[in-house]
Amino acid sequence: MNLPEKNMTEENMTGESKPLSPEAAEMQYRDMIQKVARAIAQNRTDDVLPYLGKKYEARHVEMFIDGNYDKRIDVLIRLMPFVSEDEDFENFEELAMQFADSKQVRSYEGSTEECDAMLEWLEETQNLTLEQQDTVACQRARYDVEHQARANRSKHIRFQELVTVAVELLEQLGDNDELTIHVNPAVSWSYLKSKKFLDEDESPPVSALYYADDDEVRTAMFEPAGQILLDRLIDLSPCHFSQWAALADEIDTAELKEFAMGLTQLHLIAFS
Amino acid sequence: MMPAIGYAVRRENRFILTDPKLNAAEITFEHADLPLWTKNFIGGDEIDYVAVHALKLSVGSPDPPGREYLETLKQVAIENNATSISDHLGFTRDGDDGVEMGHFAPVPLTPTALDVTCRNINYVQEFLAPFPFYIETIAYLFQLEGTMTEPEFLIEMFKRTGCGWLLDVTNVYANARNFGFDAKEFVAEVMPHASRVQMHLAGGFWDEEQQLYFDTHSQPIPDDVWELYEYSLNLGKGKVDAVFIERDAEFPGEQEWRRELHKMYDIADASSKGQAFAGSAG
Repeated sequence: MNLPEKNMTEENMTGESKPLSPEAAEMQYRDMIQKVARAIAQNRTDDVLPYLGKKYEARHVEMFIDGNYDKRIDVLIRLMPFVSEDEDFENFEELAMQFADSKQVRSYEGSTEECDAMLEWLEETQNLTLEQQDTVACQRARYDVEHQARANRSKHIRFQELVTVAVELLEQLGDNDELTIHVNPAVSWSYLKSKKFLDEDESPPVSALYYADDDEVRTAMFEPAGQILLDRLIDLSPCHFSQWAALADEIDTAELKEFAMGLTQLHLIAFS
Repeated sequence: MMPAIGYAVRRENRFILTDPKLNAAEITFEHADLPLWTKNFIGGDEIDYVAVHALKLSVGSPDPPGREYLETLKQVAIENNATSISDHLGFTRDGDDGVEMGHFAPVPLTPTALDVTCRNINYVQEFLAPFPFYIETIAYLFQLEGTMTEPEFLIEMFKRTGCGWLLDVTNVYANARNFGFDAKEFVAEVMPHASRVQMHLAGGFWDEEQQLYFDTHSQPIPDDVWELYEYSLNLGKGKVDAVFIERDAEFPGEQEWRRELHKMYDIADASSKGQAFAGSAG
């Protein structure tokens, strides 16, 4: 029964009533909050109405639910600009409403997690073109970079500090045995399957690296050989140039230094 | 004592952080949790009083707030040299493995809800120490059936937790106007029992069709709210730490941003000197 606490009693065998124990009252409270929260999250009023205060009407609950729903759609549109403003997703608002109707937000999910869940839903339920798949991959990689920067916040801040002196220290690469190479801790790979984001002379599939650069997410494209070199460095980092060079036996030291120069200019590696 | 005076910081009003009458800023945790930023959210502006305002502690939920959320919240407070942390009296989710509703619903005004809420607030205060914690009374469109009045619930909550009261003046105004009680009586009943106080001011609109006032943070602050603000300041003299204006939509021009800030300052200044505010009500 859904009753306010002044009536929260249980009857014994003689028909006398006694107040609920604190534990039982809390169980009842938990049950009520669960029913109300889940109903609201599913845009339903049915499970709320039995608990509603006497002064209030179903329309009050409906207004609350409608307001929450509108805000949810606004957030999806605003925080997924890469998708919502993309010409291949002209019906994004309609898709966002379909998503919101079919998926509830899980506890503690922030806006980023919810947007990530919508990307997953798009892939699972929509027959996406290669171009649309690339757009989804780009947006997801951007969230992944943010997630890594949040999870490794002190490393992210430290790396961005090191970036400010990286070009100066680059001159010592290969000559100073004490120089340590650090790879940007907030990076994420994805593969582009269409020509949508590629230059004229590039052909898919292409590996794209997304990474934090100050407070922005930037993108760099890599040939397979470049990706292998960088992945080795990511595995070793922090490390000395000689350690990286020992594993990069397919190219000579001069070429590796040149590659490192490019990574430095992109703010993908720095030195201490 | 003059409270710290400021705005809830949004992208649209960052310019006002250098206004000579502003010495406080409230940053919404969910906005300030910008993982790529290497500087703090306030960005080096010299602000005496920084309040971090959270949205998802959900102190009315049966389960306590999650540690990861609390840790990030505290980290943002540390990074921004915050003075205090706050959240709302309500619930946004059912439990640890449940669902988020998006916006906070009011807790039922019952002894069990009070027990749960106080337990969660005490847990939050212990975790976030030494930052003082304030709880905001929300505007609601409905309440769940209860057995206590809202002042009874709040008075007992302040007694058991010692947390501060974030009195959203516009929320009290909206609730009173929508559901027929006296806003001043409400403030007068609760104020003596709160040890520390912050305030929010905002403007919404009256919907003729629904016969409801919506606190949308999108309009100028109405005269009745200014009057209730002055009344509340006088009642809370000596324990109002900071007051903030919230604006989230239909952003005004610079002159209007400053006009409301200066009015908030001037009313607080007059109140602190035991004078009636001499400016116009509008």
